[in-house]
Amino acid sequence: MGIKLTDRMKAWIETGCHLCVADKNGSPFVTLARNIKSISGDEVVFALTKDEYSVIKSALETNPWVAFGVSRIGGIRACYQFKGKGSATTEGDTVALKVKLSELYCTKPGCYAGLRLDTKSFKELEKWESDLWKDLPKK
Amino acid sequence: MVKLTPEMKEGLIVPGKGGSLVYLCTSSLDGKPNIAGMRYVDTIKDDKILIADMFLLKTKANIKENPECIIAICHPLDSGRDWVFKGKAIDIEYGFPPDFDWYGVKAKEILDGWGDWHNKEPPEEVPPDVIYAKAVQRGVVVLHVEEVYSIEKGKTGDKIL
Repeated sequence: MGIKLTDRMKAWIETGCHLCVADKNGSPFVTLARNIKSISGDEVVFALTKDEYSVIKSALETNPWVAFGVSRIGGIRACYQFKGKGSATTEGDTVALKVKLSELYCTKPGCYAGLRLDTKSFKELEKWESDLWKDLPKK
Repeated sequence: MVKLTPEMKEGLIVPGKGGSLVYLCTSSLDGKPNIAGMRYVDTIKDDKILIADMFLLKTKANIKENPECIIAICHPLDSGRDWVFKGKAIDIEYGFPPDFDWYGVKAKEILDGWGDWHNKEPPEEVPPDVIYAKAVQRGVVVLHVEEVYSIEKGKTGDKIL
């Protein structure tokens, strides 16, 4: 089932994310994505600076998997893990990292920890989320 | 050998005491990454970070097959805590031999000190719509830190320790 992010998820992702990749031997690397270029359908495109990308470049070149969570207060207010495969292209001084999402999980501690959400229909997902949370990040 | 700074140790305690929410990042042996936020965090000695094993699923499975692990500050981030800690982790669960040793710390010492973390440091600052209904702790994840790098704006990837 394809992933469609809710408006609330998109709003939190836009505040910035911690990206985690791993090389093909399972050694992880983390960088911070401060800028999001676009979010549409099941794709999130991060606009990384060269130094932000440098940390994950070698791993990503051999293994496309990317997992990410929302940074800062979003780590508490948006308890999600987004996962998919990424590809990077250089655009001037920045690197556009496109992640095509294939998995979505809840990371709220307790009974919903680890719950896979991309198995729900979009309507089910919206209802499930709005029953728990409605807050949006402050601009 | 890494030696965490006093500022790092102050940042690596539970948020309610002025510490940080952290991301615990692991990977399966074949390279599928996983990232999840953690509230219960502390340090022991100069090179180890502790995380409660509560509600861990993929994180736990990953650590059992692959000790390579990262802990990164999630919040607050913009106050000089732009750190990523990389090293080898184990989940010291109840039932480990008391004298089991992980890079110089013993299982008994870890479980006696942090094995009932909910009661040791109750999650009073956690919002009611995020808090869990019942604490279930099965162990303590111990990260032996081997490297620290920066995710500060303009300095991402710079080695700190």
